[in-house]
Amino acid sequence: MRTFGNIIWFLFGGAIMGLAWVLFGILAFISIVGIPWGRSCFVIAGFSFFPFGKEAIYRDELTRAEDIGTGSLGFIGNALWFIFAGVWLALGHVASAVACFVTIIGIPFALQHLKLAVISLAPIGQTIVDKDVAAMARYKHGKFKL
Amino acid sequence: MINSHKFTLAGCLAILLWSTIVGLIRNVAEQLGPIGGAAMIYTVSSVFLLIFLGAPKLKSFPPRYLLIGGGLFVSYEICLSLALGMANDRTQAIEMGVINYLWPSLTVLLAVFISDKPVNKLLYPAIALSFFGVAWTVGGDDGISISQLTSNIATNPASYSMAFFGAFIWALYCNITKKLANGMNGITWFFIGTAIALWIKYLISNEPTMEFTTEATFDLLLAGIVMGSGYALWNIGIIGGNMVFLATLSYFTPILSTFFSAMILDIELTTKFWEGVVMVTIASLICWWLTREKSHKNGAVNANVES
Repeated sequence: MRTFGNIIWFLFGGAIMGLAWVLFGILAFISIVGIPWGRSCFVIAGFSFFPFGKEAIYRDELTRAEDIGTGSLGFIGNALWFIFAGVWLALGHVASAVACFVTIIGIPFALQHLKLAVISLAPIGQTIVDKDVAAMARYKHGKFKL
Repeated sequence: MINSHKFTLAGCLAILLWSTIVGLIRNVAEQLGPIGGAAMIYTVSSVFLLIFLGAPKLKSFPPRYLLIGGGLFVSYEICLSLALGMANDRTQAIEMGVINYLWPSLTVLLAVFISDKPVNKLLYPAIALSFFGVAWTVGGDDGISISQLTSNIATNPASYSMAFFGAFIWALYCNITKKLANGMNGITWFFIGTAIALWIKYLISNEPTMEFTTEATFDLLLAGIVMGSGYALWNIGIIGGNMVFLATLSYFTPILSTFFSAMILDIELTTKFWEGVVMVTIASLICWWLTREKSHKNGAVNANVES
């Protein structure tokens, strides 16, 4: 089911949005000063190519340890990211979500685009894991609902 | 001809929208709670229906329709939404959705009992197949195993009971409201009634206060609008659409609903699960086929909005 969802997703817009993330990642690496953001871009590009069965989670939620991306430096990084790349990627995902919503059969994909739009705004400090791993981490840390 | 296609398209969109509702209700219930989430969804849908369909004066409805039809509608919606919301996990929520789709077969069975007319004997095995399909789905990986079925149901008897009784209630609703309605459509009032009943239940329950995050609010609006749009579009579809086509399509709702729910909730379903869903769908189609001359204008979802 997830494989099927991922294939459909990839063919109908996921590949384009994933490539957009890869492009921003390459630009970040080329700029040298953007290397810290580049790594996040490639992690989220993978998620953007095949989102079903995966989930974004803050690394401190997963490991219970703060690192450079989840601390105050990460906050500054996210603020800069938001201005230069995040807002544009988020708009791209929102536009894709609207297009999916209109088709009705695309509603499940629209919801994935919206998740990606939220991640696009502040990706530093987040990582992508299997849904089960994310649920287990949240359960262990008492953030699991239902 | 073009107009007819427009109406048929509206009906198709309504069926697709309804197919997403199991996943969307569960999504909201996970964030706002089973009772509070359902109350909010029906409130949003009621507002949506009030704006787009309006609400005829209550005095214009036959009192028996309002009381009996309304009572059955409200009971069914509460059973379904709470069964989905109170399910132990997402897979179980989709199981509730499949149990709910016993209602097309049960509707035919009840119609046979009520009308007392001779029917094709194949109808009974078809109805048995729909129950078998549900048991196949709920049984898990072992297929039909009484002990496995019992232990699965024992994990959440309240939800399973509500889903099961909901199917019976809806079958009853489909059979009696057409006669009581007198051509009137009280769907907006019924939605308002469902919302009020759920709010009362929420107030007397111990459910924690709802936390409205951006995601929860968005999902709530989406679920409410999708549900309201489904009914509004169906009302358009039945005006001049190809009802035979829409009826046939509507019988595939269990498959569509399971597919969309699995995608929205991002879960893997086993082959056994799908086999059970297909059995329920085939059973509903056979029931409809065997009785089509009498009720070919009544699609599986037509009864949702008696025209």
